[in-house]
Amino acid sequence: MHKARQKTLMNAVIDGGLLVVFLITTAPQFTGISWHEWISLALVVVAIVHIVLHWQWVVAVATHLFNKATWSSRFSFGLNLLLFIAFTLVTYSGIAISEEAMPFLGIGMFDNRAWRFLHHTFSNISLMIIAIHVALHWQWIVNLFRKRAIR
Amino acid sequence: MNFLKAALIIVVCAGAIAWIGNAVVSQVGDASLGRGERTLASAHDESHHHHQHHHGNGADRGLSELLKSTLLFSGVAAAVIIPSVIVQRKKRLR
Repeated sequence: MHKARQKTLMNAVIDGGLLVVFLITTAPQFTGISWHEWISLALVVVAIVHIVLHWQWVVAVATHLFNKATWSSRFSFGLNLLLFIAFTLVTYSGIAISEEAMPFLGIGMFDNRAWRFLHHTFSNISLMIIAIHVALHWQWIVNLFRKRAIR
Repeated sequence: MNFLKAALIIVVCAGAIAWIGNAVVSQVGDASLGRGERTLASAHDESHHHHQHHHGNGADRGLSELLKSTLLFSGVAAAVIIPSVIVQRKKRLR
């Protein structure tokens, strides 16, 4: 298989997997709290891999953010930055209110109403930003399926 | 090596955001949200009781939670995709 095609396929599998798993983690009662926490921790690792795989784009846009970058790249960069912040806060607040995973790992955290509120709020914000993020890449998704269908 | 460097930068940035979040919550969050620290058990019990009272059993609640998230995701995505597809088609027709 051609290297570029292999990379596209790998991105599609990782991105699709991230989306499905993120949707599942937004419903902790669906999986149960223990699975919710362990799946979420795995999701963080895959999310880091996702960013690392697109690191060249991040660096390219960041270095030309105030001069050469197009407005769509700037918008996308800003949105991704917001997503990164929201996702980080969901993760941190999730760790703070962990009932199973963190105690299992021997990490004592602090559970309070503020962190629970932030966890739910930033989870919803992340979900909405991810929806816009996916929508901005809609043409890429359509092309991916068209190419697969032609072959 | 570049991958490792990128991952390290991501983790450091995330750590900085979490640190700022922590500082903000410890200064503002507890006070503005009322009673401050509660025990894990009391918060959990309250939430459990509230959900049971309003939404039926666990499996149903889980499915309805998942459905709500999926609908929110699809709604926001569709609100961005549909107008852009319409604009693109109009441009093509011209």
